Amino acid sequence: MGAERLWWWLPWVMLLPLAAMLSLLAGSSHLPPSAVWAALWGEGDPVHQTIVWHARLPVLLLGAAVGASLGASGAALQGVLRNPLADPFLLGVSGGAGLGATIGAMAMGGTALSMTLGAATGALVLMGGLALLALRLPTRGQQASTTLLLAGVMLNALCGALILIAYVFLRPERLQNLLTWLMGSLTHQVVPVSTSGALLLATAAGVLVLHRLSPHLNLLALGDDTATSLGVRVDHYRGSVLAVVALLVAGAVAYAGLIGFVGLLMPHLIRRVAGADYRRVVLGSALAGASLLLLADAVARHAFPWVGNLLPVGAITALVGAPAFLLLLWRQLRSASLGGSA
Amino acid sequence: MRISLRAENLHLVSGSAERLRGASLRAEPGRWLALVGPNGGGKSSLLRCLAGLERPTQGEVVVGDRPVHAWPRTLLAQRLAWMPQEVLVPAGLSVMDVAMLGATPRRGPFTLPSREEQGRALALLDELGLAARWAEPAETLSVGLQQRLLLAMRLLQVSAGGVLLLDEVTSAQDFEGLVRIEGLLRGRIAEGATLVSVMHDLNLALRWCDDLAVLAEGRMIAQGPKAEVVGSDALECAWPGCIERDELRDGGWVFRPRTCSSTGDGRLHSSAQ
Repeated sequence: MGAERLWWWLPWVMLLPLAAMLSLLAGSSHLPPSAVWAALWGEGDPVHQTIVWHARLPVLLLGAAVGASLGASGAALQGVLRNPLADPFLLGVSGGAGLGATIGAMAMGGTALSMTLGAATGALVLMGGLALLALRLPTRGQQASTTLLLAGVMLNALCGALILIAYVFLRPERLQNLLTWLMGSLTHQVVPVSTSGALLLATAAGVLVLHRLSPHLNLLALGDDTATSLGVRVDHYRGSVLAVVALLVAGAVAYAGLIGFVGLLMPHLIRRVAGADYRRVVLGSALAGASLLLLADAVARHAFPWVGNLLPVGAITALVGAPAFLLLLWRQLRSASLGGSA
Repeated sequence: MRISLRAENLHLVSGSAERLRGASLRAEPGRWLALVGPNGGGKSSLLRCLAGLERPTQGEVVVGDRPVHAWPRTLLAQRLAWMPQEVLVPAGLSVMDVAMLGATPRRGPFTLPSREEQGRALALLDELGLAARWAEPAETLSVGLQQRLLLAMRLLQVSAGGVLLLDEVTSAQDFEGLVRIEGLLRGRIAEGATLVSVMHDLNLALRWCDDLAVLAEGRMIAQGPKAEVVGSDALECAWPGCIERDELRDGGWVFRPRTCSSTGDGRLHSSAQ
């Protein structure tokens, strides 16, 4: 490790307040920075205070929690499945959580708690199925990783279809709200600042657990046998990482819907700046995910004023993420074909 | 910590392939056992069974006082190290980081490496000629040096004594590597380690080992002190029609692949099997 890599976390820690600032300033009613600052400390115009404390701060906390969850989850999934294209959205875990949340919303009257519980159940069930599939794939390497992704994409489509079928039974005024949620949005509903704060704390706890589990991900890259011979109980370890990932994704999906590609791209970004050591990639992806999702959300709310506050952040992440995924896929195929001929 | 290793009548079927058909093996502390035999004869499968990574369909592996699968994983990992043939280092780790992976069984996922452990890792890297490069990314080392690094990781894993199961640890080594590896392994054997090394270079195996085991088609053809095994025709049975031996003036042996000029067209006929 060169000396420049010692400070790998610095840009991400510095980016976070910047992104937070932009997020607080973005919104349908124009507030000058000084007014936002005063309102944060409970001073100034009461209207401004209401806007900041009931509209903008919850979105900031929610965005940080969701971005960190998705970033860290993507990194942990890529490590535990040894698949650089793994992502909770692409593998259908988000879809499972979404279906669970929808069922929770319909069955128990749409409280935040019922949606969260439903999302957690859905994510855990889907993650379990995926783990069983991943362990039973006959071939390792390129083919297995592609098969897993295809299965995930199909599971996602299936969950999406079931969610849409469920929507048929909803009253139209709730439909608009849930459709925006489905596309991935931090602003489709008003979340109290206490709820989003609690989600951020729970997310931080989950991310720290993943970070503490991350050293073994380096070992897992050497294969299950080597990890086993070094005393790692691979099945238990993989199971606990996947369970923590499922819970993190469930929290993110219950409050912000299906936001894709954050989990895919953050680890690749961190590997470029900090190297591929998972002890850095997991934590770094969480920090970068929080910052960049807040930035994407600020862009979604700021850059298209003529559509008001309606553009979901999921559209922005997919807009950037899908081409980046294709680029990664192309690179992987090219390196595989080069490796094959060498 | 002196641990002996015993395998009785191992059978292993994976898929449709019968990898082991009743192989038995005994390895004693303080002795170097070299496992040789034809390609595809089951050497790596046997080593994986000995390491408890594969459950034999029949037979039993005993490490120390109990069956290999009766050991809790971390306890076994502190006493028995297995090194596969593939040379593969994780991306993004420094040479020191990779060596320190060997300390995994002695610490949980929630503890940090100790200074003492790092000192031991550095000493091992030094003995393998890697100390000056401890901070470099491990991926940038040549394959031979990566192989030495992976050995350092296993030697850190089990301290004095213990069992070392090494699959082709010298396949990518130059003379310097061979000298350094032999020195380290001899030191471990003197401390009471039990060493089983799969080797393809028969002459090197004969030079280094105390005992020789010959495995062909999943069966142990011969096992014992090397002079005894070489004195029998076990090696000729393992590679029928393929090897020639020369006796040296000091009583040792040198084996050569049969050359094409020595018989007719030089092709190996199936009748030779």
